[in-house]
Amino acid sequence: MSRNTAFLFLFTVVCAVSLAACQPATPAEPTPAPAMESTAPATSDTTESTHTLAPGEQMVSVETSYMSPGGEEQVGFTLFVDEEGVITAAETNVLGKSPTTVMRQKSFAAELPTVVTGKKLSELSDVDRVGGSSLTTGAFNKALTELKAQL
Amino acid sequence: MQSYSFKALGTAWSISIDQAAFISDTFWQKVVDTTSLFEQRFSRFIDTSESRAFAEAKAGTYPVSAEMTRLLVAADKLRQLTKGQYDPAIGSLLEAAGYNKSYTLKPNEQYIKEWQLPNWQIDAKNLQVTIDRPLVFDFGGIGKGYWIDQLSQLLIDSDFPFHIIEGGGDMMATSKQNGQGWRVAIEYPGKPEMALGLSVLKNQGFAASDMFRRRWGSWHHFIDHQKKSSQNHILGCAVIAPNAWQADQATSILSLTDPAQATQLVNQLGVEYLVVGNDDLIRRSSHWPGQLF
Repeated sequence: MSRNTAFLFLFTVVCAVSLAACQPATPAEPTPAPAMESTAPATSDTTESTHTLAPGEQMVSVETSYMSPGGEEQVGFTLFVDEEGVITAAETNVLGKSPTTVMRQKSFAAELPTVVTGKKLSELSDVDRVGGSSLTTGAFNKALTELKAQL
Repeated sequence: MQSYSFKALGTAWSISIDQAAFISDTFWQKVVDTTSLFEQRFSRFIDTSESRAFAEAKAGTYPVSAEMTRLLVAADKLRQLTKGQYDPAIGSLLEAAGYNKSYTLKPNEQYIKEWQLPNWQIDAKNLQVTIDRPLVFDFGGIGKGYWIDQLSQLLIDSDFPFHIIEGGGDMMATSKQNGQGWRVAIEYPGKPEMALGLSVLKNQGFAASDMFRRRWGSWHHFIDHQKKSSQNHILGCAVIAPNAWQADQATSILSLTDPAQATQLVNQLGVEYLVVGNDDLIRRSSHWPGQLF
């Protein structure tokens, strides 16, 4: 098992267990352990991703299944690993069928954090606008400067 | 491509139209005049505005305009969704904290200590608002998002369907004439020279907010009225939605409520979002459209 594959396997187990644990427990049927039948990793270039591959970085994706109170559900994960084997990003691919599962997978996906270093605005080309928080008014900044001068 | 810029509602506005058609100065003046009228009517910084109409009023029921009703109905929905964390009735608390038309930026501690959140109800059918004490409405970003969409409609009605309208970093974009979307870099919260990502907007609205702008002392413009202090859950957030108004409403939720609760609420709205946490890590919705750097 290559190092990347080992990473992905471990990551998938952790995520699938977490997702299964997110399901509301029913007294009659305790939350079953996730089924891990299809964890064979596959490199993929078709997965929708917001992460841009850096030179030397690899992307690996996997789909797996787990048991929810509503039946078996699918979920996918994508890992980005750099040349030194460091995971640089992880993404959840929402594949759930039932609306509740989709909502939970979406929430789970949103909680998977990403490290973003940013890029200088001046390095971007063909940008029509820069979206950001509201620019402060001249009056506000002037008042702030005056206030600081009084301190 | 024809572009026009102006200042209104305390910020910079710019409009680009991707058409070769002649655009008269009269048309641009109409854009500026209607925006100025909207500001006169709804800015809490203007004494005669409807947002300040109840600043000295006694408890009671008062008539409001149809447009004020529309804004208050949306604000009421947000108030319910966030269990009161969003409430436009905080206008006088913001003023007491120093964010007022004179920009004193000096908190009035005694007033803040005694301040109580005014209660209000909107009767959309009869265009009436009922208040329990004097109050000043501050809609925050949602007033701006509402107006961006109104301007977009004005452009469509004037046969300029291919446009992008930006008001202080929030925007509404239709498409370019060739059917492509508009490329928008997303500013990194607190780092104005940096972009954290790039998205293409096509018939979509965008809004962002951060905790770095409009900051004075320990305050900034997102207020926790229960603690009477500014919120510090996140560094910033960005939202892409079907229009600017919805995008602004979602950024209000993300900025004001606890992050775990906020993302659930925003998922229900069906918009896509990015949140930059206090740890500088980015959390984003599962179908965020665009690249991150």
